[in-house]
Amino acid sequence: MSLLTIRDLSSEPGDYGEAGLNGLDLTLEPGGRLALIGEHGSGLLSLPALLQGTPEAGKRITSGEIRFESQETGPATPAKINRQGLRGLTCLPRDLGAGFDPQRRIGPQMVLAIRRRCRMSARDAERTALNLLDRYGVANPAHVCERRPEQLDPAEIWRAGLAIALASEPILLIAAPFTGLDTVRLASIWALIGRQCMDHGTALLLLTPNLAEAAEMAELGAVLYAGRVIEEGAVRDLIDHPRHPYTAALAAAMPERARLGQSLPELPGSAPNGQTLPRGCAFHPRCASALAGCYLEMPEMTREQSHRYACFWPQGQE
Amino acid sequence: MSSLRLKDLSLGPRAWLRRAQTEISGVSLEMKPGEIVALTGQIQPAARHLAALLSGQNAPLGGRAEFDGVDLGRARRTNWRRLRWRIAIWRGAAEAPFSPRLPAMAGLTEQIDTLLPRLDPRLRDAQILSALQRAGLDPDLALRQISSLTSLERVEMSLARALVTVPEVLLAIDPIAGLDPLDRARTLNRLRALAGEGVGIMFLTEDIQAAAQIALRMGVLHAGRMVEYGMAEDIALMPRHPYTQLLLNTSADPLGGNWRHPRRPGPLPSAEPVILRPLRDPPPKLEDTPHETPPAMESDLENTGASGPET
Repeated sequence: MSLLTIRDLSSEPGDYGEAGLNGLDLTLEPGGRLALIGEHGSGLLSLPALLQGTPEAGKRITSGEIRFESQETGPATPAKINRQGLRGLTCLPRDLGAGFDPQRRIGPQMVLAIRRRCRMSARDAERTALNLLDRYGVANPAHVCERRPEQLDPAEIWRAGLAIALASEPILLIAAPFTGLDTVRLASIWALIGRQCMDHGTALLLLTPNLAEAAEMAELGAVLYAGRVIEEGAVRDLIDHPRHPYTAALAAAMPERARLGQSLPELPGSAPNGQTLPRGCAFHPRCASALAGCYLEMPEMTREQSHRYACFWPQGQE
Repeated sequence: MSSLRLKDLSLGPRAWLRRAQTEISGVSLEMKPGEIVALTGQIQPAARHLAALLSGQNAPLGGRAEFDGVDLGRARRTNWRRLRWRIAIWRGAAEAPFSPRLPAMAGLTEQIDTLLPRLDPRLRDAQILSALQRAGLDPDLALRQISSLTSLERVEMSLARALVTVPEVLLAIDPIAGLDPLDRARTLNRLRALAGEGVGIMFLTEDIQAAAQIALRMGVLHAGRMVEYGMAEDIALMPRHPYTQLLLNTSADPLGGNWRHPRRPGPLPSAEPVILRPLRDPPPKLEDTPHETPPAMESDLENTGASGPET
């Protein structure tokens, strides 16, 4: 029984040239960690709204289905879970520290926010907040709760934000790269999320444009281009032995992997606009190894051990 | 072409107030034409104050900032009229000052008309065109509104705006923040190409890997102090200060494993600077033995300067 199954999901293109999804297929096992790797315009950004089943999302889905199934909920759609307030999926905000009122004490704000998400008494909510802060390594949580956000270190505020998001003990966590915190503190927030997933068997769906972030947080990865999965497999494989030329370009563009002082390889052109997808393989206008077939037909997924890719002329093959 | 030298510089808001507060101190570096010097770590207050200093809106609280032999702290308005167009500030797409209604070209002409009001009109148009080409843009894009451009084109358009006066020094304030990996790579290559044309670039970024990748020399800022300074390659391979080590150990790594252990929120390592000798300098002669005190920073600067730009 897999936790999240997405079958052939297509949606309308979003605003600002964001591509719609175009036959997305995904499976996520309970407790698994999957990274969806895609740049702006790949359709990745429309996924959280579709998964959470927000009201306008229903109108935007043109075909396909999303199924969410766990021991608590049984088979259901995410929209139903959201309506009934079941323990289900949580989407972490990009800035965990942004939701707090800087003028008010952080403890009552946490209690309010936790009670809005899960049904519990104020005393239970307070106990949960203190427990979670303690588990996240905050020294003296009671003291922190009495302070206002402006008196606290950003790392502590972000831990409070994380505690609110994770108080309902979600089964599936959706995360995208955070903004507004420095590298060092951010790494510790990601470590806490990783530990939460490990301890509670929470599944993680990471939406990121960056292969290095995917490698840090997930074992499996799927690369999206123009609303479609073009390659999937273990993230280490995607980085070391990419088969699709787009994945290869992403892997080569990481400054960590280039030799110091050498220019990074570039890819010509830019991501296709959601309204006007090219015929055939959507990547062919930017591809160095595209031949006539790529202009006419969309390549099917080819399986090669645990690695799957959609390309007629994969990299690393003579 | 001329160099920028900062010596033990202290900066803060509103230096003319008697009780001005120091927010940045101990920044010493030297930048020659065609070199990229990166500042990384906690760049936020430094970016603001350096931009104010290099555009003549603030003076140093201590130390000395020198551009082409002119002390920027003491430069008068007449000096600034001659200096301002030679130093460009590129803030990426974050604060690109383009009007949402007018074509992007209006932003470029505004910049060049403000800084070089008496330029020959034909030369002015040629400079705008060449700035667009140097920024890697199709000149036709300048006729469109900024909102109809992609995020990379916006960043490049703001670069074109910085380049219209043909500056000798470019202060790049985290232009790669928020860009996708491929766009990032292209922007880093663009910076390197500009340095190849002889522009001195001070590159401020929070991404230590990107800084190490393109810079010749690199400084690491932490808690308002420059805690480490040296050849970028040396710092990336052998960081000495605990904060630099922490930065390198917590940035996302394609091998994975850097984000495994949560740290307790608390004070980061102290901001006491580690004074470094670049690793591949010749061994010191007897008469200029390295000191452990800030004067050693100055002797370091001269040594690294003497080693010349790396190709």
